[in-house]
Amino acid sequence: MKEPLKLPFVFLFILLCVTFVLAVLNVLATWGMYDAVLRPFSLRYAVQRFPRSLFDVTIPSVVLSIVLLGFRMARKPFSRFLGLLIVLVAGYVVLVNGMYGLRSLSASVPPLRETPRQYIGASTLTPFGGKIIAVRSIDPAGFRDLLVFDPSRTQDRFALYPAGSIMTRAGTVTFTAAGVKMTLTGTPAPAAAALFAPDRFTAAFLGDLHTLTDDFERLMGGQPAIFFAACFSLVFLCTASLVLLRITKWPLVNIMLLIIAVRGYFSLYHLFAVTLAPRIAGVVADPLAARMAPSAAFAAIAVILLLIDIIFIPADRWKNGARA
Amino acid sequence: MNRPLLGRIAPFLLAFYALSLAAFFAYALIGFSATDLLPAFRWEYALKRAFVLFVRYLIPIHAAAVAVASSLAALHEIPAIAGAPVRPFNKVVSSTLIAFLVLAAAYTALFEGVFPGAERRLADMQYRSRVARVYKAQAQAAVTAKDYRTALDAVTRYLAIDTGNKEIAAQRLELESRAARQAAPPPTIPPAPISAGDSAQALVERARAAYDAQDWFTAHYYAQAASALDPRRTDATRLAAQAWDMISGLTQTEKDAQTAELYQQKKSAYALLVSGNAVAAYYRFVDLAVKNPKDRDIATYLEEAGRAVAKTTFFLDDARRMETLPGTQDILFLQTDGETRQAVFIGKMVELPGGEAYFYDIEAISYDAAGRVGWHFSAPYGTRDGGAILMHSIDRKDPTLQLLPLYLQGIRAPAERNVLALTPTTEELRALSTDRNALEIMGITELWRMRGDLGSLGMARTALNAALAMKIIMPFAFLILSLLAVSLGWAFRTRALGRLPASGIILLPLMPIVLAMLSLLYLYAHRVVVGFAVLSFGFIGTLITLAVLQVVLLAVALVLLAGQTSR
Repeated sequence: MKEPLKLPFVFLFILLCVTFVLAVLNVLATWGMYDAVLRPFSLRYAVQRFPRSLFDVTIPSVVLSIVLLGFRMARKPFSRFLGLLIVLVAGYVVLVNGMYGLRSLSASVPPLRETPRQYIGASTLTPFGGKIIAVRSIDPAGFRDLLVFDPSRTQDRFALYPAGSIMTRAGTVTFTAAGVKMTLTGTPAPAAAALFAPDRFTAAFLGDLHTLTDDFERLMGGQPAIFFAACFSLVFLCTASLVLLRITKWPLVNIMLLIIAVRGYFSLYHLFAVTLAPRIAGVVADPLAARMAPSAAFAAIAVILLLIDIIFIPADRWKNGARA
Repeated sequence: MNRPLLGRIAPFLLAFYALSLAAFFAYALIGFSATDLLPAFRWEYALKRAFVLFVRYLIPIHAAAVAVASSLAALHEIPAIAGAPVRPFNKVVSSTLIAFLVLAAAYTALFEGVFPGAERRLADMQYRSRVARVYKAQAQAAVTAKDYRTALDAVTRYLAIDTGNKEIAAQRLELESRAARQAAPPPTIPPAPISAGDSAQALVERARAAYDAQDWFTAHYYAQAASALDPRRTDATRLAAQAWDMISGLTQTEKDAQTAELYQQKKSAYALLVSGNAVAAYYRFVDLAVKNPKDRDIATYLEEAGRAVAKTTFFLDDARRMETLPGTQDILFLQTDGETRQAVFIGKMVELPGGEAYFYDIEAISYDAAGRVGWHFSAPYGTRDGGAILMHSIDRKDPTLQLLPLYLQGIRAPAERNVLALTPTTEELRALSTDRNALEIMGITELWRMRGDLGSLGMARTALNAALAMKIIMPFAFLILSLLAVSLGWAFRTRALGRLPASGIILLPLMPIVLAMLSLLYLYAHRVVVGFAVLSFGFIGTLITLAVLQVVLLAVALVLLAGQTSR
């Protein structure tokens, strides 16, 4: 009975390590993308920003920790029911309390400030709404020498606007030229985005994670009951998915299956919460039920996985393999 | 469990490499778009695209092969009896470590040496396909307008790209005959020099054409050459005699008048050359050379005028001929001259051996610190002349056809009007393409050398430093992920099943996909650290940070490997 007793502590240890690494990366990326032009990086900044970063990485940290814990459980198997219960309870408690606790802590973190310099670098060619622009200088009063290059034209592609104002709101940058009627609006990526730009596969993954975290945060604020249900269904699904670690006699393939399944869950959530949301809202009249759709799907898949586990999979398949 | 791991991994590596290359080739072939690319490029494109994809995803493919091989290492092993001696794991794995070092070096060579060239060639095939389609459309339009000469020219240029297109080649033959039937333009070309490859028949034909045009000297010149080449050609001898009769038939007065006129013409052409109007002088001498092919003065000064012309202009047909060659597209950069700033766009640059380069679709604007536009022009063609672009192109035959920069705003002094001084070198221009892959397809050494200069040409210095740092990381990532893959595969190896599980074989293709996801996340974590380090510490600080990070990760990978047991 030593292993079941150890398991919650191992889980917490893994969780702490994973959360720390992911939160540090989140702090570095956030500073680089948004704050590098405003202030230098300092320990004070990192400490100030850390709670919000911890909140942002809570969900992926919990999910990843459950997966890593699953590797250990597969190597040192004990009662499946007990294992499921321990991981489910520990994961759920950590996720719900972590998100609530970190949210209140991160409330004191000042929101990210927005300034045009985050998006437009002086004397640098910057893609901007299908065009490419270069500004000689930017200051609070406005810009000097805005050069606009329009690649869609075959001639007279350059246009110069000597001065004007520049404004940023919610990621949208607007240039208004002085003296002539010209307004140029675009939603460029932050100037430092090229430094932190993920490849398209990683970008899709990060996008799915972002959707999940944003949704959970909204639910926490407005509909706690659904938030609890959503947390439960997520942890339940991840825990039930550990059955995949015993699904074939080849442990490496099982691990790959588990990783791809977990990746798929994030996409599935995005599918239900974003892509199919208007259709679901059209079919399900009750908005509460509509919001529960992703969680319901998660819970349904978890139940199916559990049934597969109970009916088809021997608990100690890996050891059987070794004895074969 | 005593067999070295390398012996088990090598066949898997070869199989995974071969299968992935085949899969990428099939993918590239299926994904080939006949609307974007010429069908003639299909096989070359598929091969190069497969290679590019293979190198791009080599790390996960390699890691998958290593992990699978390691996890199946114990497939046929008889489980060790408790207490029996087992070969230490470090002995099993030592040769594998050396092999990984060699493979990491090979990967670096591939990634830095061959990959950029293949990427460039892919981009170039797309550009050339676009250009070919433009030529085809031009040819069709010209045929519709019954302008067979223009159509022939466009088709010839199309065939320079799509050489094996039989349909267009047949169309060219037809156009040749139609163009020949069309009225020939006035002869303004000088008699082509007789080369070793010219046949007697060709020379006779030229002589006859000159005779018909009452150009007795030229007719005599060619007819004599034909007769000398093939003494059996009596027709050539006869034609030479007839031409000579005509020359001799001129009256003394006529001869004096002609000589005087020729002298005057030579003098006026020479005066143009001396006054610096090389282009006008060139055309005069060309015209005189046509009429007087044997005149030594004319030949000498034509050569002189040609040299003078080449200093300020270039021939249009040269530029057009080079347009179909591979090159760099959509170059955009800023350059400064004191407080004056210039923005330059070049649609395409074709590089030739010896540092020569041709430029197409040029547009530039200059503005001062007060935001006033000094000038703004566009030019269809240009050629590199030292540190500048010459944009005055002339037709070799037609003096009325000259292409000059078109000034949309402002104007410059006549001496500068057709020249654009360039700050970047040809090599740097290659990196200034707005194509988002421009930095990715540059090698480490190229980026290292140019990162300082490129930063002053409108590129973000931080992005350059980050791109360079990420390239430096790749061989380390290859090595560390290889080691981690061995640990992963070994830790989760199958135990003496005797044969591979059927479900495993079916699910095997998952392996590279999952490992691709994981390796991309691993590289993304590096990118975050690199981005942060570049912004905080500068480039040297980034290199130090990365060195420390790689040492730590390598140590972790080795510790994990050492933690494996061969039992």
